[in-house]
Amino acid sequence: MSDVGVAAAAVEAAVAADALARVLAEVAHDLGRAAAIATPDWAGPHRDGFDERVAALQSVCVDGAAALRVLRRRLLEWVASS
Amino acid sequence: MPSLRHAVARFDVAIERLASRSAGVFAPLRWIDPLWPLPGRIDELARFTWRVGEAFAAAGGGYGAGGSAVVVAAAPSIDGWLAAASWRPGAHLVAGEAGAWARAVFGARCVSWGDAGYEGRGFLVGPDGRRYPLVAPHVVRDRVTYHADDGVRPGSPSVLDLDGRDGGWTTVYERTGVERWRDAPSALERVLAGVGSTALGPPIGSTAADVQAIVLVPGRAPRFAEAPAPPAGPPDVPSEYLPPAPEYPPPHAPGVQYPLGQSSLAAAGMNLAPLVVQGVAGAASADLGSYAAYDVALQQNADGRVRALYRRVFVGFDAGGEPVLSSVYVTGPERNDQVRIVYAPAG
Repeated sequence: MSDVGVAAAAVEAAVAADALARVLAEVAHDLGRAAAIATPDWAGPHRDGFDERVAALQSVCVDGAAALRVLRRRLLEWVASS
Repeated sequence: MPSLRHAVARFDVAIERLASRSAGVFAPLRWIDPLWPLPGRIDELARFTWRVGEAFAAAGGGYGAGGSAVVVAAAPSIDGWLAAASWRPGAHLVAGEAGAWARAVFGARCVSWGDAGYEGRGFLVGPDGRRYPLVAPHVVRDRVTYHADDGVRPGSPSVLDLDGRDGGWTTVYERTGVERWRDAPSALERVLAGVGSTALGPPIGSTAADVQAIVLVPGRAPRFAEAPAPPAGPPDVPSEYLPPAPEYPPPHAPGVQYPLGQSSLAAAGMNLAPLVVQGVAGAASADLGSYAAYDVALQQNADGRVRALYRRVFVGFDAGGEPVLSSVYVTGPERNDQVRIVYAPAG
């Protein structure tokens, strides 16, 4: 197992993490936009349930994107130092 | 921009490759991507949103200006439609005030049909929020009382319109399905039912799987699509071992009296073991008989009256283990508010 092979895999993982982070950010943005369009004149328990689901998914997307960016940075730092 | 599912899959592959190169070929087996449930949850949200869109459409809404996929309708009608989609008849039974049921069923008329009529007491609150009186119709033909038709030819007399005495009914809503007809028992009720089943055998009633084998067609008697499995018998229990009673009373307790029928306290303790085993097994099956197939029809008459025909079908087993169906009309909110149905053969 060579260090070059590990470094190449780390770079590939960093690229994939970056791509996934971008998609998650896009999904979070789309969810918020769709919810804002769909719900201006809608009230009641189903509206509350909808809002809660959207908020929970947005939170997962935003937190996941942040964690992936941290992972990407650490992977690239490791490649640079090895 | 790749799809979320594609991006997660690509990230997964990259992490597994990195893990195998840096920590050995088995390292990827320990990697579980925590983001995998996310696409499924977004799909679930999409389905929910699609149902809301259906609700808008059902409520008479139209697409907004500009060709966007935004529909507009009054908010109460949307919540109402969504409530109707989850409506279950057993949860909407209510009692009526004195005289209210008769006024709702017969209107201002004073009627006496003698060999035909309705039984009932309570009301069913429909998905539209209206109260429908629950009725169990009956007619007497050749000294036999019938409560429903098992097939009726067009133009022939029907039990449901009392052989023509009370016609003009139109079904405005109908739903068939499987329902739990009582709340799930508490832990204590399960144990008590388990002890009861120890003495009386397995609980009698329909399981969810039993009633899913029922074919319910409006205007016909129910029948089986496939024969349900008979209920399991009592579980095997260890053979009882009764230690012999001591020859003398215990030390320092010369006056001890053993319980009636027991020659030894130790023997009584041993007797409890199989009872507990059977009791636990009975408790586990205490809720199996709580399901029924149902067919509920909400009807309106040309003269403005409304009514609900709420039929429940249970699965039982005869002494030979053969499945049998029994049908009742639900006529009120109490457990005993029901009328056993006798089906009239097709004339």
